[in-house]
Amino acid sequence: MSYPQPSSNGAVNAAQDFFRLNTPLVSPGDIYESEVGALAFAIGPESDLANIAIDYYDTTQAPTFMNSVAISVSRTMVGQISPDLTQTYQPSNVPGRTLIRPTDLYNPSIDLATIVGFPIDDSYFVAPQLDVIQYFNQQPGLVPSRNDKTFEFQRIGNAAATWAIVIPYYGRKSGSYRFVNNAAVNQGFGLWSINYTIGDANNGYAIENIVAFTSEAAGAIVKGSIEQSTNGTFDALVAVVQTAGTRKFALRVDVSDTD
Amino acid sequence: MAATKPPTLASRVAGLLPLASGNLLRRPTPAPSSTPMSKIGVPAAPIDRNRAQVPQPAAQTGKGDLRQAAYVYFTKVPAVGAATPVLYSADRLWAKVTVTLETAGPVAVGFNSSLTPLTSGKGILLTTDAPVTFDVAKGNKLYIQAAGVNRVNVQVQSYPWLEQITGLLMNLVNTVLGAMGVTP
Repeated sequence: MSYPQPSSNGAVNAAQDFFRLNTPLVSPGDIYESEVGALAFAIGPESDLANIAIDYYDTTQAPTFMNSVAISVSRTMVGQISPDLTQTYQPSNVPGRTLIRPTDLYNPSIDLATIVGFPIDDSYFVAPQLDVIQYFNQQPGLVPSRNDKTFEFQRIGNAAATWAIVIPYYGRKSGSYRFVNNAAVNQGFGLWSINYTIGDANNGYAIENIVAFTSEAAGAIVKGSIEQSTNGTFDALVAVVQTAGTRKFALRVDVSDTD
Repeated sequence: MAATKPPTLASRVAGLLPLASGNLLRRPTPAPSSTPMSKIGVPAAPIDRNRAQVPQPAAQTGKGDLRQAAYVYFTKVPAVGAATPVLYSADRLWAKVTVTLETAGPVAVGFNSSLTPLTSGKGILLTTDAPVTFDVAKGNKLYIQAAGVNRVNVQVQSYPWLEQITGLLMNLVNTVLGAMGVTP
């Protein structure tokens, strides 16, 4: 959870009609809270996550008094959701704020070496962006959609090594990748899809290979597309790059919610 | 020795007023003294504490009586045991208070100092972007209560003429009672 936590109170004081919770995930258990009522919730454009839960105080939900509604890239929540700070959730006795949390999983401590089947010197996680918009007044229409995104990497690290680069995907419909070996010597490249699951570091994921790891010659280009119909849906892409010499390479990955 | 000027006709006539009083020799009632007057028209120091007195209408309307206000009220997270916040206190004037909720709420406004639970019906629940107008009588307070942080626009328009009408009516009642021989 980012610190200090983004505050919806500030949006009210700043005369805004909405509060935008736009922050990278830090841990799998990130939970954000709001002390302001809402008339709608929707996924924001910069979100990498596709499924987010809104937990709110509900007197009818004994014994915890907590109810929950999920929003996604295809489903908004339109209706009044109000915190009740005069009441508390049970048995935690925490004030009845509205809670915002991802239901998509994220685990930056997974054992990537086990995924690819050989040693990984280091790994680089692109933290998924959590983008939720909480509207304070009525909206004529809400069409949630995530922006298409492009991730580019060049010359990672300061020495020749094998790197795992984890890129958030979370149910995108399509994507493309392009790896260029700009070094004068061979460098390796491979691509996997990964689904986080609840478990420990050794079994908390499910993987499928998209591009087999291969040592690419100088100047080689590896490119292709990822389709939901072919590759399924998954949470993240894992690109493995084995650098050598000058570490010159270029990797570009595009992800989209359209076919 | 200086010669004494004879009184003019005007000064002689002025000394005979008012004609309607039946006493031709009485001099006119002097102008009201500078006795401090409150805004409601009642002398600050009662003349006779043993008798009830009828409030008199204010002779003049002060600038403060016509003062308007427009501001934004931010509801806060209510503290346990804290008193219900007062949105507007009509201590001196009647007032027309218009409140508009700009956030999602829930926010309740009413004349009862106990507004919780908000959905109990003790106050009016505001609807987002829908102005609600209250005519607040003098001596009443408008309370506000919320379960979270909200933004409320408040416009206050004073009704000084209501105050004066009340005073005039009371004066009329007093006159009628006096004509009937009833001591108020």
